[in-house]
Amino acid sequence: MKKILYILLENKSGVLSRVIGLFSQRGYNIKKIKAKPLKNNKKISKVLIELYKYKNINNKIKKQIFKLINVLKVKIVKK
Amino acid sequence: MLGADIVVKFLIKQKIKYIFGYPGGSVLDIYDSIKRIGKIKHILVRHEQAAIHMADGYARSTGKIGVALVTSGPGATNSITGIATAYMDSIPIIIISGQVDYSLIGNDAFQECDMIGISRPIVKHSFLIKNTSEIYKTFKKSFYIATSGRHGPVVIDIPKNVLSNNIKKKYFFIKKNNIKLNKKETVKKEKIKKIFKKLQKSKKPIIYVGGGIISSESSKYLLLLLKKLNFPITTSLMGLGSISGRHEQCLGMLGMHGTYEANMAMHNSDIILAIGVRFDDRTTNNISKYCPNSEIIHIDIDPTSISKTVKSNIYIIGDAKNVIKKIIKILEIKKYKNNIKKWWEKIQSWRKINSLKYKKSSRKIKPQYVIETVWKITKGNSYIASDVGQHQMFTALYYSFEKPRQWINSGGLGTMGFGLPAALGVKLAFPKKNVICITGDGSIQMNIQELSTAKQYKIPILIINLNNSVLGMVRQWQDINYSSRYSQSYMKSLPNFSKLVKSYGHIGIRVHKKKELYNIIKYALKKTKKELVFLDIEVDASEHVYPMQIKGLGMNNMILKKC
Repeated sequence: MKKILYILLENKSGVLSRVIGLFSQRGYNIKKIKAKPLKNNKKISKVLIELYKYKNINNKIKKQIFKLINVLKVKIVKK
Repeated sequence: MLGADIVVKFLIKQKIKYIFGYPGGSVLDIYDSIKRIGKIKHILVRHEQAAIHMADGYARSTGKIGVALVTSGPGATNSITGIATAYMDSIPIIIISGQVDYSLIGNDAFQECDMIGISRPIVKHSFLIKNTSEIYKTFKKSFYIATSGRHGPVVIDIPKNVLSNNIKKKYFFIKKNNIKLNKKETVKKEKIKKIFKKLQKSKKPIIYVGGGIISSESSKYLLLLLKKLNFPITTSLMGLGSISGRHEQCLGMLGMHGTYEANMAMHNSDIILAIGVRFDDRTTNNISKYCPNSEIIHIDIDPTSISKTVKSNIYIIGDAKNVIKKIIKILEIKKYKNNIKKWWEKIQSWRKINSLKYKKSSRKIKPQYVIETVWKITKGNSYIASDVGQHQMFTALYYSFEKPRQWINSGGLGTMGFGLPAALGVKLAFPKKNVICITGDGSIQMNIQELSTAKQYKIPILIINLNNSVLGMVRQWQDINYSSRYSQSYMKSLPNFSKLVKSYGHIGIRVHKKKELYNIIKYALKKTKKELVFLDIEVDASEHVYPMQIKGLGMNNMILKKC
């Protein structure tokens, strides 16, 4: 079972760095990351981030990411 | 219209009175506009960090937005400490920073730095404006972001060509800003009912409030709530003044240097009603031993603060004012009744220990005595800006604030050098009120150049320097944790402060007799109607701040006096 963060954000320069910055600020290491614009709306990008296992960080990081102004949606997907 | 003119006109439209800054190549267009348009007063500082601190002090004392203007490169990097200070304490300020021409960005141009990148972890949001036509929108958004939800600093980076470009559009004031808001307020009726039930059942309740009460302007409602509930209340460092320090239900500050009764009440409580606080590590000590029998009801506007360090049992995300009003309403409707006489008896027994007593001395001036004397003269009705260190803690403990927004200090980041510029900002906002800056010999030297700014604009404040010729708080830690090995906490070459201040054109007085203290402070306060007065008070260097929690233990483990 993998936990993946599914994030929708505005497709502008510097937005992804804000998201990634949150991980580095809090000392989390990213296992995999994938980002691309949505097919039906180029103004919005989809980012998928797989994390290593950390204790109860999921909700914390989700809240922190959702607080960013350019982020539209965050959810944790299990695979 | 010129880009720079749009910026200045927008600020005027937003009723910004002062702008604090320092000119430089890439913002000269804005400076030219300020000169041409007028209507807005620019305060020229001596260092950009102080510009941000002044805007910060202005914002803290008035509740309005503070605006600072710095140039690109070194100007922007100098402002970082100020921005981080505002970010940690959630203060709404706008920082306009210059930037090299848009075409030069990324070319390592002269005075270029990636301000957006550098400031990213310490801002609520930041913008880089690419076209002159975006200026309106961006500024509108920034002002909205800075003052909505949990307040915070916003950086706007404007390239020089954007400022000097002309656009044909006439200036118009946008009313709408299409911004996504993370407003997930969960002020639900069931939750309020749940809270009511908990409060009704509790035998040992305590209310714990912080800076959120002050920034949401809800201290009036807090008083009502206290009257209805008859609970004891304790405040964090940022929350001082949200309730009068002399209120009979107020136990004072809690945490690392909090009062004995506040920390004991927290530790032994069964319900903690926390409003507008973030359970900072300085107020919780060791998380695993934190208030073992307490259920926590947490009310905060910021969803990320909920269960961040301490798990809360019931939480409400929302504006403190709204939630307090709703709680008061339900208390009235359901006819709240709860008898906590025994709890109050217990608290009175803790109060009797009088953890703030200190050894009086007939000759040496004790720092606590200075603060008490200042309180006697001002009766708690003056604006106090403080720097960071022992003097800050002494002020927090021995000066009872009467109203919110009177206590201006750097709580989250603990920035030495914050006091003087912030006090100047407060005085600009309230020219007729007493503004006192309480500082130490280490802190004052971090931004002492602002005495020149005070001279230029004739800003008369009273500076009280508790001079013990050592770095007090560092030395205290070295005394307690490092067996008194004083590594680099001693200043061997302090200037003669009173002479130094005189050379800046102010009044400087050195005080070293206890008998004189009262009269001199009184005289100085009279003098500050027109001139800046600097009191360099020689205080006892051996004094420590007590109570002090023992690191790594619970809330109830405190050292109360020097061993």
